[in-house]
Amino acid sequence: MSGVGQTVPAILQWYQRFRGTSNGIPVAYIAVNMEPNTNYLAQTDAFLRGYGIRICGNDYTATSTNGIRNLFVTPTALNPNPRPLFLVINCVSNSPSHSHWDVLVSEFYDGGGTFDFTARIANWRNIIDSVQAPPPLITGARFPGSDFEFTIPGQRGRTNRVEFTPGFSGWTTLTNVFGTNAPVLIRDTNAPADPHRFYRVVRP
Amino acid sequence: MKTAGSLRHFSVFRAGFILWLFLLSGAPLLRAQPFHAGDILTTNLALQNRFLWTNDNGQVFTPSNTVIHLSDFEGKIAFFMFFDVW
Repeated sequence: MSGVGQTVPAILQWYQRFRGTSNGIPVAYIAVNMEPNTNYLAQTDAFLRGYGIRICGNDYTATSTNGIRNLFVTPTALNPNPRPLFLVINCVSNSPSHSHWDVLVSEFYDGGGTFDFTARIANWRNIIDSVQAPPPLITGARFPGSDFEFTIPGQRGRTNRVEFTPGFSGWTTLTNVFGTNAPVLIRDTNAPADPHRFYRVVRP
Repeated sequence: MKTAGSLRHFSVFRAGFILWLFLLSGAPLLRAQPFHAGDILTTNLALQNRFLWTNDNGQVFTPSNTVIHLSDFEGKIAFFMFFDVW
């Protein structure tokens, strides 16, 4: 099976199913077509649509080919057309673990149509899941009636502890959220008990 | 004493020999220093868009006349799969 055929279920569908990495970061799967010959146009489109791929770019223009590919792998006499190329880039600007536009994975092969990428994909997923999410932000604060509610980002397989304090003399747990990668609505039904309440989200 | 013709012949032979050594060694043909894993990318990659799709911000990408940039995936991890169909 091709590299696309192996990475669609193991990367694209895997992270779609969990709505992101284990740290809650969305993963975008971008297919990059390297074949400029128009004779392969329909075949390429059918191939991509067969796998449900909706984001695809062409690595060629009217005057050049493989300009982006060649930023990551240098063709040699022994491998004049390196492909497939697997490239993973961190586009999270404020991750505490990785820099913005950090090249996480850059691996190329010589053909590879029948290569079994299972072990490589497992390694790539470990690398992808190692990128730490930025600190959670409290958003959407509002007062429906006498309650106070806001939204925090959930994290797959992780617990977020929501705490409050009326005067910074100590923090009290409001709730623990064990969640998925989706926004979580937090409602404090006892907010009027104090003249002021400050909230924070702790990721133990 | 060497003639100009034999000197020219020798230079062509020597250039061909050096080129042969260069190719034999698998030396790079295009670019000396590509980006590797662990490097920080310093250019906003741009690909010619192929399909109609809409990103999370509602920006519509139409085929042929728009470009996909790396910056379009801000806040995400971007997995690029370079392939050809044959």
